[in-house]
Amino acid sequence: MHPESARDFLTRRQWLWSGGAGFGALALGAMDAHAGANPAAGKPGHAPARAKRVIFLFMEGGPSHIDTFDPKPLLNKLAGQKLPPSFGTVITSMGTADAPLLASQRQWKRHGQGGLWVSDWLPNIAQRADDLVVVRSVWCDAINHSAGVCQMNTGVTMGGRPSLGSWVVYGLGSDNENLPGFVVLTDGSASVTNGARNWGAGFMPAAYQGAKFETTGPTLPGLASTEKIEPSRQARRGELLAELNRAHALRSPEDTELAARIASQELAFRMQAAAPEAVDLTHETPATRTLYGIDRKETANFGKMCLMARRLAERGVRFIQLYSGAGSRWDAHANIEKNHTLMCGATDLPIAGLLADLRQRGLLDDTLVVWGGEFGRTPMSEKGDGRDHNPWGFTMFMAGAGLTGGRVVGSTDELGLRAVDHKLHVHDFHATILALLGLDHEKVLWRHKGRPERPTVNEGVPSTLILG
Amino acid sequence: MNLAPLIVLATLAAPVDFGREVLPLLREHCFKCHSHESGKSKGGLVVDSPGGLSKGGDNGPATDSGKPENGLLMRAIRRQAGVEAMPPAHPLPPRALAILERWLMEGAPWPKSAAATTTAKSGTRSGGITEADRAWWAFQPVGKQAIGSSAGIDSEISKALAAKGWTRAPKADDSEWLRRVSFDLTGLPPSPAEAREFAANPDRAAAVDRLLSSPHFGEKWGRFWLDLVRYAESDGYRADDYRPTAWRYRDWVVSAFNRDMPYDRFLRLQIAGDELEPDNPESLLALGYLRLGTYEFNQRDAFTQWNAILEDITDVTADAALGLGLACARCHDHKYDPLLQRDYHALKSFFSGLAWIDDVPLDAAAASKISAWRKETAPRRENLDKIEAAHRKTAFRDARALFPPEIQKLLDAPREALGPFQKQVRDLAYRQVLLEYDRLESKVKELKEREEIKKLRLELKSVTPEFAMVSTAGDIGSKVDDPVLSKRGKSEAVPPGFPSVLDRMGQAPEIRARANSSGRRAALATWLTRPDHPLVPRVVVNRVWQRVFGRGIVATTSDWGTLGEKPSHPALLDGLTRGFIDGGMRIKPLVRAMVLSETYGQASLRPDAREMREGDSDNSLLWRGPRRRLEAEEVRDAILASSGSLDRSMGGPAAGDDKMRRTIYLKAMRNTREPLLAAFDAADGLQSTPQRLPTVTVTQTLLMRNGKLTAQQAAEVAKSVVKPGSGGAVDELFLRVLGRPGRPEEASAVENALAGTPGNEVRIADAAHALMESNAFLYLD
Repeated sequence: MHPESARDFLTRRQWLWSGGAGFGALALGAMDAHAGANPAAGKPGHAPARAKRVIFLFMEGGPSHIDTFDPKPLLNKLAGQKLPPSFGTVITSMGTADAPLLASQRQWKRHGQGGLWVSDWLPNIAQRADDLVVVRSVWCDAINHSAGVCQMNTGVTMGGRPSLGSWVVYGLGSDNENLPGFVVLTDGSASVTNGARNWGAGFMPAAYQGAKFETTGPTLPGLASTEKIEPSRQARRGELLAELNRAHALRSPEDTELAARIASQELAFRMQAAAPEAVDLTHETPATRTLYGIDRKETANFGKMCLMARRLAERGVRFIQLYSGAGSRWDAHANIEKNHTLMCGATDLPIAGLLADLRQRGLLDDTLVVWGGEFGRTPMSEKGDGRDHNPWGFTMFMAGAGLTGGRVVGSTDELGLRAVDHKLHVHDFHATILALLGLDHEKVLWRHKGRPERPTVNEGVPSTLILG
Repeated sequence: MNLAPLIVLATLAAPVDFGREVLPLLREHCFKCHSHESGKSKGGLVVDSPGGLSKGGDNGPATDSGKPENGLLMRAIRRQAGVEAMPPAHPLPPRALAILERWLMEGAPWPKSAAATTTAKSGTRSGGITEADRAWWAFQPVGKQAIGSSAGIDSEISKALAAKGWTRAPKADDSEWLRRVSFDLTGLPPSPAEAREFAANPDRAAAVDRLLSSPHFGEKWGRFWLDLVRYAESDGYRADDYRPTAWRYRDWVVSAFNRDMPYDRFLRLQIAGDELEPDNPESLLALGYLRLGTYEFNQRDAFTQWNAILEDITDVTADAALGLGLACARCHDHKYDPLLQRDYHALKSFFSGLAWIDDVPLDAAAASKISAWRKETAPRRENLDKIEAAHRKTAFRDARALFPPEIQKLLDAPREALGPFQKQVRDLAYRQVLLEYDRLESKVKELKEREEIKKLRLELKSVTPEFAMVSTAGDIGSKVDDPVLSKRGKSEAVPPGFPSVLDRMGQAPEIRARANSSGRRAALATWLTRPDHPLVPRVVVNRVWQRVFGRGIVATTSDWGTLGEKPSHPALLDGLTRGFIDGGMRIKPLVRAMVLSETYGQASLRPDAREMREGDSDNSLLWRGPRRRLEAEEVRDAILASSGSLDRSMGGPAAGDDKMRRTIYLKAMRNTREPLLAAFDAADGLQSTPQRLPTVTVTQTLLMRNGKLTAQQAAEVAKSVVKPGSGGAVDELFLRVLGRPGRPEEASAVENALAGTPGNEVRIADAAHALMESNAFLYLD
C-alpha cells in the first residue's frame, strides 16, 4: 500500500469526514456508487492486534521513578554526597549536576506474585502489581518540559509532527462513528504544556487530531449551543439547510466532497447526543464511583476522568489520553515530599480503580493502559528537597493488552540516573505501543514534502521484552 | 455503517528491509574491519556481500543457512561462548542486535541491487551526484518561450484536453465567477453593491483590476507567504511568550504584495536585507524572516539550541524558496533525492553568522524619540541601576548556575575575547540572564528594597511611551565560524556552498565580508534570485498557479525532487516562468493572466462530467473550473463581512479574537489557536505549510451550527436586512451572505422558510445562519 500524502488526501475520491476530532474515516463507497474502491475494506493492521485501544495516563511534569517504581538503595547510602564521577556528567535543566544526592524517603515493598517493587506512594496501584509491566529503562532527548511533553506525544522535541494518537487513528480508524477516535481529558483548568499541539495532527489532516473533551460544561466546543434555542426552531433551520444543500448538490450530483459535507451534518447531530452521553457519569453505581475514588475529595477529579476513560473505551474510542497535573504539576523541583504525596494521592486510587474495573469487565484484555510522564527525576537534589528533570532513564508502565504482568523490563544504573539495560528510547516505546495495536511503526506512512514520514521518524524497534 | 480502518496497511509480518535497516548497521558496526570499503578483512572475513558471508573467514562460513542461530556471525553478535564476540569493543545496541538477528533468522537475504554499492569503494550515493541526478527535469534551465497572457494559458490547457478528446466546461455564471475571483484575490466576498454593479456591467477585466489594486489583495496573498515561512507571534514551547513586534514583519509582507514587489527583491530583503540594502529601512522589517522560529526561554543546552535554530532556518528556506525538503539530509545523504548531507550543512553555513538584534528603532523619528527619552530619564535610570546593581549580581549568579560548565565559561569571559560561534552561544544563553534582570523585582527578598525597585520601575514606565521598535537580525561580525559536521567520528568545518546537484549553474559562492557581517547571506540571496535559477522562479510560479487553480502544475508544491510529481503541463510551467522572469518577477501580472483566462472562468460544477471525473478525478487537466472550500480566514472574514461588522482597518499590533478585525490580524499564538481557525485547517506556525488541507470535519459543522460567531452575525444580518429600503429581504440576504443572488431553487427554499412571517427578524436570522452553514457558502463554485 502506498503511503498517503496531502496530495492523495486532496485528490482521493474517498473523502474523509471526521470529527475533528479524529473520527474514523468512513468510506464514501457506502454512499456513492461511483466513488471507487472502498478504502476501509482492508485489514485492520499489519499483524493481529493485542489491543484495540489505548488509555494513556500522562503524569505531566515528570514523576520520580526512583520514588515510585525503581528503588535505589545506593542512593540512600550516598545521600548528601555528589554524584560519583563514574556516573558521568549531565546537563540538567536547573544546573543540579553537582548538587548533593537526595535520599528517597519511601518505604518499599514487593507486591503481587511477580514481587514488583512499588513504593508506599502508590499503595493502590501496588495492589494491581500483577497487571503491570514496569519499564524502568525509558529515555528521551529533552531536558525541559515543553520538548519532553512534545516528544512523548509526537516522537520529537520540536513541534509540528503528528501525535501518536493521530497516527493510531490514521492507521486504524475509529470503532465508533459518533465519537472522535482520539479523545483527551485534562485535570483542572490549566493548559497542558504546549497546549493542543500535543494531540495535533501535525502535517496530516486535522481529521486525525485529538478532541479535548471538557469534563464540565459542554463536552466539545460548539457541542452545546451558546444560547438556548427551542428544538422546533433548530429543526426548522436544519430543514432549510438541507434544502439549500440539496439545491446546491443538484448541480453536481457526483461530487463526493460535497456529499461528505452533507453527511457531516448528520454525523454532527448524532455526536451532539453521543459525546455528552459518553462522559455522563450519573448512571454509574455508587460502588463504581467508590472504586474510582469519586466519593473522596482528593481523588474525585482524576477518578471521574478515569471513569470517563473507561466509558470512552467501552464505546470504541481508539486513543484516550488523560493528563494528571496539567501545566507541569508533577514538577517537583522543591519539596518533592509534599508535591508527590499530593499528586500520587490524587491519582493512585483512580488508576487502580480503572485497572480493576477494566479487568472485571473484560476490557483489560484488549485495552492497553500506559502510565508515565515526559521524563523522570534526578537522584541529585534541587533546592535541598526537590529533584530536577531526568530524561536519561525513567519508568513508564504498561498494563492490559494481554501482556503478562508482574514483570520489570530494563533497568537504570545504581542511582537511577541513566537507563543501562534494555534502553528504550521514546521511539522504541512508541513502536512497542503500535506493535501491540497490530501496527508496524515502519509501515504506517504518510508522505510529506518528499519524505516518507513514520510515527517514529524512521527510528525505533519494538521491545521484544515487553511484548514477551 | 462499516467502521473499518481507513488504510490498507501494507502486508503482514514483512521481512526486514535490507537497504534501510541492515546495511547501515553492517556498515556502522562491521565494515571498519571487514569490507572492501575499508580494505580490511580481519580474520579473513568480509561481510559486505552475500559471497563474503557464505565463504566466511578463517573459522568457516559466517552464516548457517540450515540453522541460522548456529551461524558464526549470529553467535558472535550475541556474544555467545566459544566464538569471538563482535564487535569486539562493545555489544551491539539492543535495537541493532534485534534487526540483525531478524535478518539472519530470515536467512540473511541480500538483494542484488544492494551488492554493487557495498563492494564499491564509497558508501555514499556512489561518491555524490550522478549525471542522471543532474538530468532531473526540475534542475534544467527554464525554457525560452514565454507565456504571459490568458490566451497563452488557455491554448496550453486546451491542447492537453483535446488530446483526451475532452472540452472545457461552459462559462461560469457571472455572479459565481465574481464570488470566486473576489475570494481568490482578496479573501472576501463581493459586497452587495459590487455584486449589483457587476451584474449590470459584467466586465471581468475591470473587476480583476479593481481587486488587484485593492489593499485586501496583500492581506490574502501575504497570508500564503506567512504560511510558507511558518509565521506566528509567539515563542512556542512552554511559555509561548507573545512577541510584541512580530506583526511588523506581517505588515511588511502584506505591503510587499500590495506594492507588487518583485519576488527576487522580496526574497533578498528577507534573507540579507542588511547586507544588500543596508540603507533601506525596509530591510529591518523584512529580516523578521530570520526571527520567526520557535524559541525555548529556559533551554540550558545553548549549543544544541543554537544549532537547532540555524537548522530550522535552513529547512524553511529550502522548503519555501527552493521547494526541496532538505531536512533529511541533515543527518544523512538523502535516500531518494540527490541531496548530500554535506549540501545541507553547506547551505546551513550561509546562516552561520546569524545574530538576533532586538529593540532597534524603526526609523530616524523613533531613534530620536528614544534618544530624547534616554537623556531625559538618565538620572532616574542611573539611580535605579545603582539600587539594582547588587541584586543583578545575585540574579546573574543564579541564572549562570543553571548552565553546564562550558556555557558558564562563556558567560564569565569578556564577550570581546570570544570567537564568533562562542559569542553566538553566549548571547543566546545571556538572554536567560536578561530575563532574570527583568524579573528582578519579584526576586528581591528584602521587602523594603523590593517595593522601592517596583516603585522606581513603575515610575520609569509611566514616562516611557510606546517606541516604534523592531526585532531584526544581522551577523555576529565580519568573521564567522563554519558549522561543524561530525560523521563517523570525524569532524569537518563546512564552508558555504550550493547544492551539488545544481553545480551546472557554475560558480562557488562569492562571499564578501562587510564591516559588521560576513556577507554569507548576501551570497545565498544573490544565488537564489539569479534569473537563470532553475528552481526558485519555477517554484513560486507554480505556487501562484496552485493558489489560483487549486492544484499546482507540479502538484507537490514543496517537493521538486525525484519523489515529487512531474508537471502536468511542462511547457505551460516553463512558459509562465519565462514570462515571470522577463517581466521582472512580479506576482500581480501573473495572477491577472491566470484569473482572466477562460480556463479559470469555466463553471466548476458540471453535470456531464462522468468520464472526466473517472479519468482525471483531481481535475489536473482543468476540464472544469477550480472549486475549493473557503480557507479558515475566509470563513471568519466572510461571516463578519456579511453583517457589515468586519473592521477593514489594516495592519498594526495583533488583535484579540473578540475584535472584528480581519483574521490575518488576530494574535497568532502557537500553543493556543482559535478553535474555529484550527478546525478549518489554518496553518499552525510550526512548520512551513505549502498548502492547506481542506478537511471536512464534524467539529467544523458543530462550530458553524452552535458557535457564537455564526449566531451573532446572522442576527446582525437580519437586522440590516429588515431595515426599510433594503430591497427584497430574500434577495438582500443572498447578496449579503453569499455575495451573489440566490438561484431560483435556493431562493424559493428561503422564501418557503420565511413564508407567512414577513419581516420577522428571528426567522431571517435563522435563514442567514442556515446559509452560512450551507455548502453554497463554504465552497467557491
